[in-house]
Amino acid sequence: MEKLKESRKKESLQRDGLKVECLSKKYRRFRLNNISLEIPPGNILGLLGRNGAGKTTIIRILTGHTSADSGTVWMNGINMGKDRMGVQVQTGFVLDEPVFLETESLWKNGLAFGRFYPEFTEERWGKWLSVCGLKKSERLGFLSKGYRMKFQFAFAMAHRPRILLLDEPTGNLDPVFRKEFLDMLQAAVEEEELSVLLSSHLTSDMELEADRIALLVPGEILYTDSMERLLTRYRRIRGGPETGRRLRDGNYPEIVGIQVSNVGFEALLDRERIPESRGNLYGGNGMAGDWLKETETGILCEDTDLSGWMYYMTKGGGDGEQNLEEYQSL
Amino acid sequence: MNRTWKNIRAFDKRPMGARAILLFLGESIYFMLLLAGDYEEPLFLCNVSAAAMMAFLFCVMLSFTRWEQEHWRSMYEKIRYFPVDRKKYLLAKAVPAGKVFGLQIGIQVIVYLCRLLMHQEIAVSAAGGILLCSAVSGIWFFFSFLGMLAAGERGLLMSPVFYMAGMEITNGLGRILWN
Repeated sequence: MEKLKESRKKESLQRDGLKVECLSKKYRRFRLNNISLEIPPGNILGLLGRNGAGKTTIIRILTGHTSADSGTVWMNGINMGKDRMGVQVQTGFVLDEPVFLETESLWKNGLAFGRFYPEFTEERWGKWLSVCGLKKSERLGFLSKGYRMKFQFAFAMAHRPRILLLDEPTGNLDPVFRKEFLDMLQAAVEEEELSVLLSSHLTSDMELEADRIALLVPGEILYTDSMERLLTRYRRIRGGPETGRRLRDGNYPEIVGIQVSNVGFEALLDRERIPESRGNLYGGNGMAGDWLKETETGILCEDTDLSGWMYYMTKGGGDGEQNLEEYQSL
Repeated sequence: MNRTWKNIRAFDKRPMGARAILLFLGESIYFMLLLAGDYEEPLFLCNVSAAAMMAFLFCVMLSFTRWEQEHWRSMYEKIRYFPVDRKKYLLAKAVPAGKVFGLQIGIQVIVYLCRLLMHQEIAVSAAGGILLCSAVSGIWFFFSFLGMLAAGERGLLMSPVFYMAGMEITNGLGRILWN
């Protein structure tokens, strides 16, 4: 019976892509706490968070470089704790640190590390190098940061991964490079049905690429949902300073974060937390059809962007950490 | 199993070229020193053997690392991102160090045999003592090098200290043996 259950679980996980359950890791000054994520095949999960939130730690654990203190990582039915290498052969990564041999050519680097992946072939390696516009003979140490990212991406794709872990891949790229890189990523995800974990500070990239968003506050996941739902759920509101002060000082759980100045206020509104009695305050729950609407109470509602959303979610504007704690406790 | 081992061994294969010539020259000088040495005072040859053993080991074990962007980086740190069996990797990396260790001991044994053929026999205590000191200094340096790698890339800057400590250990052991 137990075996049957296990095999059923494995069968269901084989279609799941990446599944992370209650991952924890403790360092001297930092703790990653109960991280759970799920990325189905063909999906991109955007991991957002401030510096030191734990994005790179999560990615290091998922690459197999660092081991977690507790928790489980499932990759297409393989438990990483039991078969680390089985998961690693299915994982491609683009990291912001020197992982390959700087003094060797791109081609040799691929061959040196590629032999550890069963699906790596010279043909695929050559193909992906040319797709990314890289020369075989160039030495890795001479490449700019943008080309390095492309090189890592090409290598990852050459061994046919099922999951791609991208740690700040576009942070150092110029806009042209960034667009090229993101286009390549999108095409690869569609063609190969990859599960992608994309960590970045650049919220504009997330808006373009991510299907789901996970927001990390130091060591914990504060929020995770689909991009579509996030953008429907949250609204940015603006108005006069008087209303702002009222919203800031009163008990308004729907206000995630607020900034009030002498000329007005700006806040992030969580539409799901608006009590029925206050629906009119924001003009039909902050969502009266138009993307921009001024309500009768003088509050202007508009779509939020990810950077504004992240700012208020992590910092809470004027109320800072206190606001965040309140939000977490709700 | 064999494939994994082969892959790991092939991972760091580089053409020998200049290194082979240097190795040959070094070992030749060492061989001549041992052959012509004065075994009435074996402490000096003990020190020479230990110094040679640790120097050759150092050259081989440097391949555990790479000089990149003004840092020595441990290859072990890199391979952790890849599907490589870590125990096998360390074992595979110990093979060249083991070869050098064996070569040094082998050269000493050959020298003793040559001296025997030349009717210039060496006292067993002197021969055994030199072998022992070489082995101890080699083992000491091998493990301290691994320790330096584990401590981080800057740990490698401490290698002269461990080299000197190896020499001191050899000296101490020699004094115990012959005083």
